Amino acid sequence: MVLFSRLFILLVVLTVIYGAVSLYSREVRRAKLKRRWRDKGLTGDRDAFIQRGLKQYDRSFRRRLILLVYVLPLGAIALLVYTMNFM
Amino acid sequence: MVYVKWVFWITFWVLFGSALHYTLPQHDVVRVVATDVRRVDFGDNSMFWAQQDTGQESATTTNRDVRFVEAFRPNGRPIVYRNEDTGWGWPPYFKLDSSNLQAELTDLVSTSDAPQWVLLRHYGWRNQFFTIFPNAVAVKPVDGPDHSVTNWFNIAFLTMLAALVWAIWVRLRRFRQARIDPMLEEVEDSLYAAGDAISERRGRVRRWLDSWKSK
Repeated sequence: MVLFSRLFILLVVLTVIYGAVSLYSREVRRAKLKRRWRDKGLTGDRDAFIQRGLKQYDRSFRRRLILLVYVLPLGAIALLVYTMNFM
Repeated sequence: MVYVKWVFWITFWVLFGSALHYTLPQHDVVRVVATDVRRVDFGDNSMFWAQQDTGQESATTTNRDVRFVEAFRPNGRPIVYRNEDTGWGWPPYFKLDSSNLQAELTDLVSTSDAPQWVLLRHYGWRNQFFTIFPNAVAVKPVDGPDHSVTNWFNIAFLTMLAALVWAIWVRLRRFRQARIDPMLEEVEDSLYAAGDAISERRGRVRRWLDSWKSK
């Protein structure tokens, strides 16, 4: 049915966007860690510092915010369906 | 040549603006006089019709039954709307309850002696030359023909659209200034340098020729 095929396509597109935004965000975090290491003139194992920082990022709230890529469009559609048809 | 750019941009914005004007919701205060269902054959104006009721979209035919609403405006002129599902397609109204809306509209039918004025939200245009009807989306009874309403949704939507267009334009301009303009300057510089080198070569050959002439 049209509904399911449209929904499927929408979910695929949102997944692609989510993946792209996640990778980009992780790379931005990595660049920020490198810059911090350089600017602060830190010593020691740079790779370990970056890995630790990335592991911290993986657990952070900012990473969970990217899930809004799913929530916002689907939520908007659900809200529209409710206001247009049941209000 | 400048006219080409102007014509292009004016055409683009006129098309974009008319698409927005067609798709965004508007409100009319009307008096509903009749509702009916008509068989419609889709010809050249098929773009201005929506679709089958949701759940039946796969039944594509060259004609189908379409619900209509006949109404009168406060100035005494008639206007006819259609009442079709837009379903999961375009425009994204997610209008699934056209049958219910038709029942509500039939309930609000009135005569000119005892008028029941309603606020009808719709999108689309009414055009007699091409037989285009606006699509009624929602109806609400109101007190009188001079009921006025501000279209908050349109205001919010157009503001956000303008902000989005401006944000993209600013970023494009910044990108052009940061990346493309320096590259263009380098290309121009190298072209100038090549021109200078060519004229310098010619100068050397000319001086060599002149050294023969003085003999």
